[in-house]
Amino acid sequence: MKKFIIERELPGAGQLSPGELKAISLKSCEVVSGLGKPYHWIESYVTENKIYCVHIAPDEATIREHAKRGGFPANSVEEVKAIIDPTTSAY
Amino acid sequence: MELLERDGYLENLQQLYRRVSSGEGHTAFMMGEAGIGKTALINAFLKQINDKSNVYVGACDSLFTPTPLGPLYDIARNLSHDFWELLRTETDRANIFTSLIQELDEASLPVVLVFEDVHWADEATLDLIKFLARRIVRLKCLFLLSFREDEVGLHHPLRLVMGELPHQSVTRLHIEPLSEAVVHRLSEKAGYAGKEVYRLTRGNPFYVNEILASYSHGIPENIKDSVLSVFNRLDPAVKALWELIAVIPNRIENWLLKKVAPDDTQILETCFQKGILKADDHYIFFKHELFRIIIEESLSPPRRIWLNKQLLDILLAHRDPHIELARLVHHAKSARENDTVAKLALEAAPKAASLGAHTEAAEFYTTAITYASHLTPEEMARLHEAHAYECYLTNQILEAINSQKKALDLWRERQDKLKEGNALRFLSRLWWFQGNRKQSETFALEAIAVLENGFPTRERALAYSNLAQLKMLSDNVEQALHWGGKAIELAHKLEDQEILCHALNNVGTVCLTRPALHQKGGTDLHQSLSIAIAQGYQEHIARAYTNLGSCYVLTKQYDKGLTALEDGIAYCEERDLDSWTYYMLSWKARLYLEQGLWDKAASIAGDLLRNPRHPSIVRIGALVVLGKLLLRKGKDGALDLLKEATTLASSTLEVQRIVPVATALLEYRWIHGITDEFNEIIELAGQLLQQQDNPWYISEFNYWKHKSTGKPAVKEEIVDPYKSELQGDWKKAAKLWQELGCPYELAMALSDGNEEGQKQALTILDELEASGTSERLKQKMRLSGIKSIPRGLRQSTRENPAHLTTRQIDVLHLLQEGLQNQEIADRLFISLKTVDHHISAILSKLAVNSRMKAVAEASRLGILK
Repeated sequence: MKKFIIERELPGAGQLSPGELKAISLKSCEVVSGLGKPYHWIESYVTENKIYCVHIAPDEATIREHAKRGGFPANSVEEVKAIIDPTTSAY
Repeated sequence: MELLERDGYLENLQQLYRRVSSGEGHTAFMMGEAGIGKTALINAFLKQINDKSNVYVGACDSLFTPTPLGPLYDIARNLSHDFWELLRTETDRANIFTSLIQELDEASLPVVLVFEDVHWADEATLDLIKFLARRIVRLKCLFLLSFREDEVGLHHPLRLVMGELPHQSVTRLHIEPLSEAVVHRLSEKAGYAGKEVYRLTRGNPFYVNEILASYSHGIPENIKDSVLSVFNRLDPAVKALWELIAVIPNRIENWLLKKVAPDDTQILETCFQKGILKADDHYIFFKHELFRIIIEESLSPPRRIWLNKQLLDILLAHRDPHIELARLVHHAKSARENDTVAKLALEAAPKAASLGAHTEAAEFYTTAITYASHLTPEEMARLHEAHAYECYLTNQILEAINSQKKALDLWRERQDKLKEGNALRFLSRLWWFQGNRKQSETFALEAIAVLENGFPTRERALAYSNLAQLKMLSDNVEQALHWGGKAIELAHKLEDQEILCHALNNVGTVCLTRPALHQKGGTDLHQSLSIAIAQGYQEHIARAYTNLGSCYVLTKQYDKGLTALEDGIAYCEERDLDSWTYYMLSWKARLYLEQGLWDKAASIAGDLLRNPRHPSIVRIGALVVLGKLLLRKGKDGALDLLKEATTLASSTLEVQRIVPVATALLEYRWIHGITDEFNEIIELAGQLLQQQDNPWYISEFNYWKHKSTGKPAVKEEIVDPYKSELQGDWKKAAKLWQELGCPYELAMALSDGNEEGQKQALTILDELEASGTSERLKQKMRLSGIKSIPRGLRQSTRENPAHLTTRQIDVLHLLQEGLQNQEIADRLFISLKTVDHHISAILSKLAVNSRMKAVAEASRLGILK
């Protein structure tokens, strides 16, 4: 399994109502459970005009399949090669 | 062969040419059966004028699917280099068309532009013909078009084009066969029995020529035998060359022939000498296309495939910009090279579409679908969608639905939600065009269900706006506002001007007819129009004008309605957006009918009905206008028109189509005093009106229902003047109708009043020459015991020499008294506009140019004492 950052372009995302955010989440979960493959939606960061999602899946194709089945844009899909934070400087 | 019995035609062409030389352009269609000598005649004419004009000749080819703008490619090489470049690279055909006009305009000598065999023209060429012929009068150009009359049936698209051209600048020349006397003379000279030759050929010059060419002894049983008897006696090498040339429709390029048959120069020379083959600067061709066809048809299938394969290979190896894709597809098909066919058709289709040759684009896509075998499901789905779209544009709706459904299934299998939703939305639109509301709404809702995932996508906004449009069309204000509102909100979020423009139009239109929302409707619809104009969305501009015009007519705001319709018609005529123009004209006819300008209304409606190919929505409007006019005038034919309208309107299930037909039939019932006919459509109208609340349709329907049945029909939604009338306040209703400028409705209101009112009603009806209606009213007056019923217009008109109506004489009397228009209006209980109308009618009937002179002339004739 690999971890991916997905960038979804969504003008006005920052103004989405709680109802709309709920609809997005429901749809995403529904697609995840119907994929028939191991797939984990970790979390998503909603910004002014984009949503950045962190998903774990076997490959990029599965990430794209999830987007297609959900009707979500996936403008870029990048695999996470390493994770760093302030503690990394301790090495 | 010498040109016989063609001097009259040549003189005709010379006359047209003289007009053109003096600066007044003209279009001439030369028509006749195959072999009648159209080309020979054109060539003879061109020879006469060649040295004093610029001549450009192009031809249409008999390919499986014709080349878009084929004839233009032929002539482009002789026009400027810039134009040739433009034709090859430009995808917006409007630029191509206007550049051609510019080229023609800039020529120093008169131009003769010839398009041959336009019965094979592709859609883009037909549009070009229309575009050019409509503007020809300004150019120093004679536009000659030849076609085979026997190939152009009643429903051939060329007929439609010809029907839409200005009569003043178009001439049609039917080329007749040779007379029996001439055939006798020719036959006897060649030693044949004239009677027999005439029996076989019926004077067709090509056939006469073939038979008399002495190929064999005696006369063959048919023309084909005559041609083949020459062919079969040829040397095998010559035969092979003829066969090769015969599989290419119309003609072969010099360079191409050199590639396929490099060693045949000597043979060619002999053929030229015999006159069987001919050549010009670029091409080699048979002396007549019929000759070629006879030889091609005699080929065995394997031989034909082999020859086509030879040509295809060479054409593919030398992809020349002069060789159009349509020809490659043609040879690939004939050579049974399926993969190549699919590949080329896929390339040709979008190119044809971009030039506006949508019929051909649809055909290329059909070919691609039939022959393609290596496409992925996504590619196949896209192909079906492209095909569906081209079919939709060319009004082949069932084919479009079929392909779109296949695309939908493929997207579903791929679980691609956005594509699936979009396909559903387009299916909904297609079913609406097919006239099936139920399917249309089902798919519209399904599209929204599939696309509602919280993400504000363009697809979802389009789906909302589509449903809003359906609800607007069925006049459901609440639903239209609901879905339209969602579309507008989303379009704002996405900053998508086009969807915003579409949605505002739907919402504005539905609001404009509701008294409480009227203000908002006007604002929204005008905003939609401004966006469309700013962004150059032609279709949206046309739709905004159309909906503004129809809503204003419906709500009886005639000045605004006329402005919107006239602006819209001018815009659409300029751009050849014909279907919008005709639909708006049907509303303009209705406007004139309601304003009492019945001659104008009848003229527009009559013109529209003369073209059988107009879509139902145009036809229904024109049928109702003309049907009502004939009915009110007491003339025959009203019922036939209204019955046709009933059939067309019934399947639409739309209030705006059905209610006008139903009310016209209620009026028919009332005038003819019958109570029990046309129940089906009248009940359908009643049911549909219960599901929505457009007050104008409800009012009009209930008013006539009340009049024809006598039953009370007051509902809350009914608006004035109908409301006052139904409440028995005929005076108020009359005043309101007069203010609105509706003379017939004014007469209807007055006819419900006292004796004085009824007599005034009769005067108005006489003005309108509505004797059908006035007879009904007189009958009613007689029954209620009124004795002195006015004689009516016809008699009183006949008594005065200038055929002035009673009302016009009233106006004349007041003019004699020196009254001003406003005073006359007040005195006669009519509007200022009507007074103007009467005065100009008086001036024209008396053939004078001032009111003073009118009074003098009327006195002289004894009309005024």
